[in-house]
Amino acid sequence: MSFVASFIITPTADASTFVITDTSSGSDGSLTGRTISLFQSNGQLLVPPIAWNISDSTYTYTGLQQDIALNIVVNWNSSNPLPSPSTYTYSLLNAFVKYGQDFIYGLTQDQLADPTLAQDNDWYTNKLTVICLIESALNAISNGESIMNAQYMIALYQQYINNKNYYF
Amino acid sequence: MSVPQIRTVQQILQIASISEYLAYADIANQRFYRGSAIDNSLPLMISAEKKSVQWMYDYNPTNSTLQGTANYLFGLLGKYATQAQIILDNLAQSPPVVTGASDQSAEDGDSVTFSVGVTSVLPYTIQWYSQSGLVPGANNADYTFTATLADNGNTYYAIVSSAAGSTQSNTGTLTVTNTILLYAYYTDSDPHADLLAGIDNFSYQFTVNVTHNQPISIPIPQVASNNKYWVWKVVSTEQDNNTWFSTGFNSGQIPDSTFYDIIKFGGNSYYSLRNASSFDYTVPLILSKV
Repeated sequence: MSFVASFIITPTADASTFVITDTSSGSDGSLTGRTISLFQSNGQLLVPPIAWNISDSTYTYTGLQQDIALNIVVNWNSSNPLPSPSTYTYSLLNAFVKYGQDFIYGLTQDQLADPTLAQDNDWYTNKLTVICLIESALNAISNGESIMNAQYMIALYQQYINNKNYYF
Repeated sequence: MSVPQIRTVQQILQIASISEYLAYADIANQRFYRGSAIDNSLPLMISAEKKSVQWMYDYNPTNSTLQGTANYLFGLLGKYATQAQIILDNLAQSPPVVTGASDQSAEDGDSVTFSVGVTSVLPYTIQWYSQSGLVPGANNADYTFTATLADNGNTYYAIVSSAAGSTQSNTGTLTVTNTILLYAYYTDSDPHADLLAGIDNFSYQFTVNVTHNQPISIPIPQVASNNKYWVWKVVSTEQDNNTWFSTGFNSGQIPDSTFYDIIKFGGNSYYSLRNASSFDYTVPLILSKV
């Protein structure tokens, strides 16, 4: 059975970390290695291409500093030039929003400590706004397959996170 | 003293999901019915806090603050939590168990009934469907209607619904036929006296398919064509659509034959005649449902 490249992305409890799991099927005895490329919405690489040892089924990336929408591209390299292509490629779009989700959870913790916060119209409206933007970023990928739109939503709610003392 | 029920984060999220719908439905209904004022912000709060708890639960279900935060969410749900719990309790019951429906056969114009048997802990409703869609007013275990030829091959099923879910019955197919059997008997002796006495001891030699509203073709074998007496029997739910047979003579439509009046007993109608010489003729006896 010919080799069919694929992988899945799994966010983790740690917002800076996600796991890539190779879910390829079939086989190619000439595979020599893999590289992971993390493309931002502007087409620029987030970091230089990452080597992913062909013997490892997963790769854990731990470098996310804030939420971001990425086009994750994995190339499987084969030493056998025939049949073409000698490189298998698979890509996935993903909106990493765990920082935002943790931020919301933190606001809920603030409510537990001070229930009157939920009665503050501005405070709660801003919280709802961030939630909507997080959901919109996720939907931009799942429904619209657009990291441009996803990144736009992330950038909008990032302002609320960066200026928490102003908005909350 | 009642002991407060301890709910897991997962249970609270489940209750919150249903409460969320109930809360939004309340607001929607209020627009129509203009009931007492409802806190419009509550559904939004339920949605927001449910998201907050759900996101944490998805990635870190062992988070030490999660149970407390979920309890806070549960507290927001208010009356909706009680309603949601009732819905969940109902959903935990088994959906209705349904037996039937089975295939049915009928003749054109007959009453036909498709039936289902239902076992359900919870109250349930029944709705019958045909292949054309929902049948208005067909909401009982038995669905009875008058079959027509146009219904031949139609399929019928019921969907039985309770708060625990819905179950679709088996599909029954209706076969509607337009034919009955005519039983034919020929003999050397006159059977008329027996018929008048209500006696049917005849050994019918063959049968003929009768199609409603079409003339009957009866293949009279030559051996039975000369000076034989005949008895034709059909069920008495059939009626003769013309009067030629009951006139005593057939006005020459079947040559050399003498007819008796129709005699009815035992649920059958008996047509009898003496045939002088004819065979393989078409009888202008046209039957239809009474």
